[in-house]
Order: sequence, then structure tokens, then C-alpha cells
Amino acid sequence: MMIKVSNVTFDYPEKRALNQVSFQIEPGSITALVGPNGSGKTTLLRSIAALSKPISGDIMVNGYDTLLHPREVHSQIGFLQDLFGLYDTLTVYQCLSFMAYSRITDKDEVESAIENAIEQVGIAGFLHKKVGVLSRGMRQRVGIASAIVHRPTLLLLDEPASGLDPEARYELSNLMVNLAEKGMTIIVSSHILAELADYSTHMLVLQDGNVVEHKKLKSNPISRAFVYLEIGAEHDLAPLLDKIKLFRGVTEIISVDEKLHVKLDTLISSKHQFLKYLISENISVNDFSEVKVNLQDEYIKTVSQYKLNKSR
Amino acid sequence: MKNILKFNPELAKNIWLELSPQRLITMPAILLLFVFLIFSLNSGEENPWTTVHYFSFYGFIFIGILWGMKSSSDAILDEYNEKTWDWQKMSSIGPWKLAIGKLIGSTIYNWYGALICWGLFMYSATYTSQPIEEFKTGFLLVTIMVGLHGLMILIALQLIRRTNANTKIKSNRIFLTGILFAGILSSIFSYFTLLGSSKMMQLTWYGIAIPSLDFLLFTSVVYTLWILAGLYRSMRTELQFTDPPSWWLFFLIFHFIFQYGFFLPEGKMVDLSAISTTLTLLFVETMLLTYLLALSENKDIVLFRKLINALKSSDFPTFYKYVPLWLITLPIAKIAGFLVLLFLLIFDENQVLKTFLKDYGLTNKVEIVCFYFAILLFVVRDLGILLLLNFSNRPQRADTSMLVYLVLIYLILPTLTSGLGISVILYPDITQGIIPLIGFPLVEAIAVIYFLVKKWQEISFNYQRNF
Repeated sequence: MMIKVSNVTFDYPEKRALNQVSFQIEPGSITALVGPNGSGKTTLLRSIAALSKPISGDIMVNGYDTLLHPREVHSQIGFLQDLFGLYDTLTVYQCLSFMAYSRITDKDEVESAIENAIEQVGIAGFLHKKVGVLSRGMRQRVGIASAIVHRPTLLLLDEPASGLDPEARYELSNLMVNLAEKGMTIIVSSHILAELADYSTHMLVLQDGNVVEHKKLKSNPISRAFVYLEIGAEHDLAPLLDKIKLFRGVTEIISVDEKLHVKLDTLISSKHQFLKYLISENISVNDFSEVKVNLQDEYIKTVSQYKLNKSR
Repeated sequence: MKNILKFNPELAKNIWLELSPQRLITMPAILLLFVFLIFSLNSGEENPWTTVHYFSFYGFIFIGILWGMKSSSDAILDEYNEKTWDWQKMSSIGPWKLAIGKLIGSTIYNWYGALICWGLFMYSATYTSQPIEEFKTGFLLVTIMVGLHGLMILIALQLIRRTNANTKIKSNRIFLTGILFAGILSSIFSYFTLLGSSKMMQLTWYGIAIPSLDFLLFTSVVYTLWILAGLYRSMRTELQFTDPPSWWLFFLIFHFIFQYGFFLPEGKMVDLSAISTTLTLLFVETMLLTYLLALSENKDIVLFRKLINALKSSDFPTFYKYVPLWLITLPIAKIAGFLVLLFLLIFDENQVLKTFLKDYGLTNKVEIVCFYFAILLFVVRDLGILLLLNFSNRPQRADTSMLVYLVLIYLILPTLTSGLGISVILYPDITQGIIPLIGFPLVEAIAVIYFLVKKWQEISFNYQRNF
């Protein structure tokens, strides 16, 4: 495992930020860390990066305990924070050189590492510009280059897309995919879930300092399809749900009044067969359509379920 | 530049940031212009090098020491405010290299100007009546500069550790603290150096007569080394190493041994009166340090929960690693005070203290013992209030409020209410008798502890309620 988080609790003086959080992250995965503001995302990332110490629990990064071996953990990690700073009066090249020399212990490797980072994030064109004059997007690239210059095995990005224009966001998405292809394990926290969906392999949902869900996102979009159903108001919901569950291939049903989201394993039964079944069971279907599930939907569904459980 | 980058990237970065060609030309140009002016305005009655000597002395103090203090405190605060500090914390630069990189690097421009002044000072010293003493003064200046810069970085590190990540810190507070400290130092310095006759003064330490300037140089070197040691340890803490406060204890032991030398009569190595006097001094100093550290260290409730959890699970190594310095210093103060009491009551030693206590109205042994316990109870009250303020819903201004409270309790209220007989409520006052002397602080301490426990329970309940 690249990361193993066990029963981590993190308290701030005024509130608890993480409550008995446990999960594991596989090497080479890209995990979308999602949750509302104040859910504990940044605290979790800082704890994984061995920059903040939880009050209890253990975090292992590539075999190193963050409390016992923080320096070894730092060498494994590249971390770009939400509000990161750079040395505005230095040139991009000076800035990268400083980052590289201060992070890489084998000084003979530094120059090639700088070249590599420049190539990966595509900043060769403005190496001699002062960091202070760069656009937000370019600055973000320099930030990422600084975070990966020492060739970390794990990259943590906290809200990397915030404040970026659509083009810069698109470029950032491509960069994530490229880095993942080169074997880097990535955790990205973001509010912009649509972009995370393009490259994330896993989703970790935090809510009120708890891990609400941590799951692998299936790569086949068809298998992640939902069927949206709107049924007639004359039906009693409970027996109707029982009937629908009887159909082979239905794996999950989420209902809000007469509106149903039915998860259908299309390898077992087709939508056509499902519609025929509904009609044969005298269920009045007012609307029937396929909904491709994206990360946003998965997230909303998870959070709704969490809130429902909490209210009970 | 690559070699400097390889040797110390922090130093190289600071050279990039601080030394532009324009700045490199400006500094010597201005200084040499002043020297030129001194020579050209010289009337011929006095050797112009004597004036250059004074000019370079004050130039060193202004450029090297004072301006350098501002630069060194900004070294940490700028990184913190501009959100680059976490990059540094995650770097592979070791604590020692980072400390040196900050100490020398952030003040490199000040060093540049100061060394020009220093060169002028040392050369012009040959034209003075006491060149050897002036050379020693030159080295003393360099030591003081390093020590004060180190101290400023230490204070800045202490400050960022107790500040919310989203708050920007202005360096004014640190700079003013530094100036205050430098002011005290400079008055000592002036006493020993500027007064020509004092340069020949001698003092006795461990029975050895040492010229005062030599002793000052020795003292400043030794205490600067301790500051650098503190800086190294503080930098280790910032780089996420968890160290027990052993070095702080070593420092206090060293400080005791150092001060003991002043009171030791010639030809003796053990003297009960000297030990007692040194312990009295240590008691006063550690008490003051307890207050100072308690006001400056992080006091958020999470730290105390960590400490209590460690104690509950008998995990003493963890407790020792995380315990704040003020909580270590307080028991040392108590022990020192207790030993002073023993020496006073059993061995009847320490004539200086006896005279002091007599002046204060304390003559019999019971009164002296009660007085000591009254001091401890008032300390418990004060520190308890400090914690209560820090555990409140708005702890941002807790330490400033505490400072105001201390001034009010120990300065303003006693002045306003003098003669009313209520001073015994505020501070240890024997004039009202033994029972009020002990009774009032006891009630106050118990009340503060009661509110502290209530607050603790309330916070613990809130944590549990939220999850």
C-alpha cells in the first residue's frame, strides 16, 4: 500500500477535523478527495504529508510512519497546497533550482531532475521570467514542477484547479493523466468534480471529518450507468421497490418520492428487458432514461445517503 | 552559484534574493562616502581615523545589529506569511544547514555592510589609545550580532508555532522584543566598553580575576553558542522532529553553574552561601522565565489533551517529548525555591536573602515558609487564568489580555489601593498576617482550578457531542 491511514483523529482547539479516519491507497492510483468546505480534506493531506500531527492514529506512507519518520515521508511526497507560495522575486529557473537542490540528496541528479520537471509541466518557455509576473495558470505549473522536481512517488494536490481558467484546467487534467501514467500515486482534492472524473481511479469522500465512502471508480462508463425512472404517484413506494429489486441485474435503488435512480448491471440485463419487466408488472412509468454516472453524481449520492443515515 | 546551492540551498536562495548588483555597489559607496566626508571635513586638530573609528562602530551597530535583527526576524516571518515555509519544512535540508542558511543568508546584505564597517573599525583601532581592547570590542560586536540575529529567528519560530496558519504575522512585535533585549545588552556593553576606565576593570569568577572586557567576550561567545543550540533545536521542531526539552534543562544547569562562579569565594569550590544565593537567583529567573515562556508558547487545548492522554496511558516518553518549556521550568523554579528555603531554615545561610526578607517584614521561619507557598499559589492562579483565557472561545487575544491582567494585578491595582489592606488578595503580602497570606491565594487558586476543570469538561463534552 502507498498510504495506510489507521484510526486517525485530528483536533483543532475549536473543533475535531478528522474522526477515527481509516483507509488505504493503492500505488499508482489517482484518488479524488472530495467533501465540502471544512470536511477535513486539507487537514488530512497535511497529516499525510507529515506537516501536521494527529492527536491519535497512524499514517504510513510507503512504509514510513509520518510521526516517527517525517523526513523520510517528506522525501516520498510532493505536496502542492491550496494557498502555496513561491519566491516572486526569483526567476522560474532559480525557484526550481532552489527547490531541487533543497529536496534532492544526490546532488549529481539535480540538473536532470530539473530538466525532467520542466519537460513534464511544460514551462520551458518562461524559465527566465520572474515568478511574480506569471499568470495564475503558469504559477500553478511552476508550483507543480516544484512539487514533483524530486521525483516523488506520491503527489498530493489540494484544490489545484481553483482560480484557473477553463484552458488551464484542461491542461492540468492532462498533466494529472501524464503523471499517473508515469507511475505516480496522486491524491487530488477539489470542488470541481467534473474534472476529477476524467482521470480519477478512486473516490474518497470526507464529510464532517469522517470517511463516508472510499471506493474504486469503475473504468467502464456503461457499467456505471443508472436508469432514471419516474413512476406514477398511485404506487406505494415500498412494494414497488421490492418488485423492482426482483429484476435480475438491479444492484442498487435510490429513491426520492416517485423519482428513482436504478443501478443496472447491463452485462446481466439490458435496459430494454428492464422496461419490458416494468410494464409487465403494471408499473406506470412516466419517464425512463439512462443517466451516465459521473463523479458528481456519485458524490451527491454518497453524501445524501450519509445525511440520511445521520438523521436517522 | 552551483557550489553554494550544493553546499546550502537556503544560503544560495538568500544570496539571489538579497544581493543584487545595485545593492552590492550602493552599500560600500555610501559608507566610503561617509569616510571621505570625515576626512575632508577634518579640521586637523584630531586624527580623522578616531572619528572613523566611532563612525564604523555605530555603523556596525546600525547596519549589522539593528537592521540585521529586522532582516533575521523577517527571514522566517516572510516565509510564513508568503506560504513558502511548508516547502522548506518538506525539504531535505537538515536543521543545522537551514538554521545557518537563515542566520547568515537572510542577513547577508547586513553582513556585507557590517563587515566593511568592521574592517574600518579594526583598522582605525590602531590609531586609538587602547588598540588591544578595541580589537576585543570588534570581536564582541560580531558575537553580539550573531547572537541577536539567532535570538530573533528563535523568537520568530516560536511565534509562528503558536499562530493560526491563516494569520499573517507582522515582524514589529519581534523586532521590538529584540530591541528591548538589545537595549539591555547594550547598556551592559556600554558599561564595560565605552567607559574607558572600565576596560581595565576586573571581576572575579570562580575565584579567578578576569578583565571585564575579556569576561564579556567570553560570556557573549558562550551564550551565543547556547542561542545557536536553541536555534538548532527549534529548527528541528519545525522540521517535524520531536525532541524532549533536554537541552533546555542542560541550559538551566549551565546557567546555574555559570552564575555560581560569581558568588564563590576565592579558594573554595563548594560554599553553602554561594549555592544558596545562586539558587535564589535561579528561583527568581526561572519564575520570570515560566511567565515569559507561558505567554509565548503554544497553549491550545489539543496539546494538553495529548499530554493528558500520554499521562493516562503512562506514556512518559511522549509526555516528555511534547511538554512545553514553561511546564518544565515551573517545577525547576519550585525546586530552586524549596532548596533556598531549606538552606535558609536549616543551614541559616544566605545573608543577602535574609536581609532582603527582613526588610520585607519576614523574620520568623513560619512566615518565610508561608510566604514561599503564597508565591506558588499566586503562580498557580496566574497560570490557571492564562490557560482559561486560552481555552476560551476567542483565544486570539488571550496572551495580550493576560499581560494586561498582570500589569493590573501587580502594578496598577496595588498602587491605587495602597493602604486599603487588599493587596494580600493581589500578591504575597505579609503585612496582613499569615492566614490572609496563605488563605487568599489558596482560595483564588482553587477557584481558578475549579473553573479550569469545568472548562475542560465542557470542551471534552463538545468534542464528543460533535461525533
